[in-house]
Amino acid sequence: MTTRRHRIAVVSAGGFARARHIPTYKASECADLVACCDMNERLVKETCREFGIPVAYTSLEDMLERERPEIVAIVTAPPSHVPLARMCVDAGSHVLVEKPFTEDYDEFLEFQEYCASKPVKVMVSQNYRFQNPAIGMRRVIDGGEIGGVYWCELSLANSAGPRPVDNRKYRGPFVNIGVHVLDLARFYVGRPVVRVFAPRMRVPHAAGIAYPFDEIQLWFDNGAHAVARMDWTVRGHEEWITTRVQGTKGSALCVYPQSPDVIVQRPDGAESVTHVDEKDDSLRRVIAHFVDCIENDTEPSTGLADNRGTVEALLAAYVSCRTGRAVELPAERELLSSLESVRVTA
Amino acid sequence: MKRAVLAGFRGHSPKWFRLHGTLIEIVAVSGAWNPRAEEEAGAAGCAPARYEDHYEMIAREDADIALVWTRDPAEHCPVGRAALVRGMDVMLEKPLSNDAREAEAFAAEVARSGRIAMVMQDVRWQNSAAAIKDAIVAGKCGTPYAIDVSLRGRFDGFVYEGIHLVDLTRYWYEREASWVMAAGVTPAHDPRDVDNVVSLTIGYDGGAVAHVTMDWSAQGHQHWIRARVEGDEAAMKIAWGQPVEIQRGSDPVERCPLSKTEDNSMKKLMTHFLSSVDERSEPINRVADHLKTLDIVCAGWESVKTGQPVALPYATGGAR
Repeated sequence: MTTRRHRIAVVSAGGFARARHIPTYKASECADLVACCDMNERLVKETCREFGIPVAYTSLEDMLERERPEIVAIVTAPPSHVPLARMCVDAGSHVLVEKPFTEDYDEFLEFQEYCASKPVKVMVSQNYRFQNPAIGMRRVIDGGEIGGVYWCELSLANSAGPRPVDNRKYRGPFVNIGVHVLDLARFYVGRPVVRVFAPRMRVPHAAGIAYPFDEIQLWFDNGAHAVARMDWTVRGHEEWITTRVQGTKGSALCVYPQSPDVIVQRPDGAESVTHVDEKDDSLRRVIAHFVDCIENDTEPSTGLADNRGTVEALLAAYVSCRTGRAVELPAERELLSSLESVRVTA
Repeated sequence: MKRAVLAGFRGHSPKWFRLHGTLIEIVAVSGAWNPRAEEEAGAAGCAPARYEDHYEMIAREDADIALVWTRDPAEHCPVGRAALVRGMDVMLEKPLSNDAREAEAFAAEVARSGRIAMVMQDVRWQNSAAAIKDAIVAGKCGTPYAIDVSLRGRFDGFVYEGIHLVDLTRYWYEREASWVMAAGVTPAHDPRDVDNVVSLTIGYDGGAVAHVTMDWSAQGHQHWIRARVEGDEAAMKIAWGQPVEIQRGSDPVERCPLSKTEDNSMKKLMTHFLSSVDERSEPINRVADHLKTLDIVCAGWESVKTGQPVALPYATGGAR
């Protein structure tokens, strides 16, 4: 339980900030949304007026200096995450940042090291872990209902993916929503990933280009295996996340959003249902968890230490797709750093 | 009517008696006679000569065709070879062998013998498989680029049942596979000394991919074959025995009922085989075709061991 309300500012007045982050913080019981920053002056002023945010900024530096927010939520595109987060950390603000945190491994490691000595917390918003199906699935796993997890499959088949603006940098759906299914696979198995494979394929995209793969396979140090599939090109039979987790005592299935329930079936056919009877507002839970971690000086569940595993698996998938080989983890830093840099300056 | 000998009683093989007197005349059988065979033979009014030894039966009987259905795949090629030498045309249970190189050598022997040989990938001949195939050929989904097919339950292992799933992806794509990556998991609850969940990702020419999951460790949520085919115009899915469901974008789902013809894949296979024998033409499920399916499976096992993708052709060099 939080003890007080925290001053929070948002970086970005774009679509996702307006659709999810800003409404969530406005409605939060643990935060006061004090400012919004975006380079687009017209948009940020309009957003502040529409949502009743006190101050609009076009400069993050100015916002940090004048508002001194305790928490900054960064909702910009991935290449800008680390530079912006570093400015916030330097200003003494805790940082909640959208996923994927970065596609640049050197940048990630440098930032993680930089933050180690700073009195602030950084959390990556892998908010799908905070959705009802994930909470239900974790309850099933932690409660021992299905025994030890040895197989996990997550798939997302949708046609609503964003259109890439730059084909050269477009690496497919795992840069966006897909990183959630990758992260959930890690979350459910709960063990270090030791091998990654991303099959090279040609997935025709609605915008007329192809992306290189739609699946990441993960091997874990206990012998478990996971398949995370994400295809937003589908021309029919759209499905949001279907999750199947098999354990030594039973199998757990969740087809979301048709049903947020987790259905456990055992070898004798007996079924049980785990239902999370709460409003399914994952971002509200994210900010509540982050505030709780700040107040109690604990590591967020998707802090840098944990998220490094997801970033490494994602980068290993790119390497795997490029080379046609599986990538063993932990890998040499140079291997995961070998992607074309996507850094931008703040 | 062709005179047939039946070597072995694995799985569905007693059902061959149901074709006795209509398509074939089963004159002799070999292997461990069992109550189910007794029952099926009796119901068909079939009283074949019985042998314990397959080779003795083949040597003594004067038959046109041999049906090789031994339990151990390691016997398929040797018994089949004996039948070829005896001048019989041969239909063999899949997999042709546990060893792709032996299967490849057998294919060469078939070619030299001038006999007709066919491998029973019977799932291709089931109405559900045909319905997907027909829909693809009719352009219902455009050009397919991803196939996902799975089977979960307490069935025989990957070599026996999973090979059907691999074969289906070849049948539906009609392209050459170029690599395979596989994962195998042996869960602690299952004492069988094999990987009980096997997942294969098969790369096909043109960048298409097939995902095959054969899971006989399933502790719940089991199912027989299910498939999903993504094309660049529509997506199709099927649960075996149910209509094919085709959807273009958010249009209403089009349901294509299965053929109302008798869904008897063994009968269809036998009819095709006999037709091939009569016409001396290559059957669809000829040995050379099966080699490609078997090669993917063998490469899959290699991939499970090495943790790396395996290029195709793998063990059947030159089969393509």
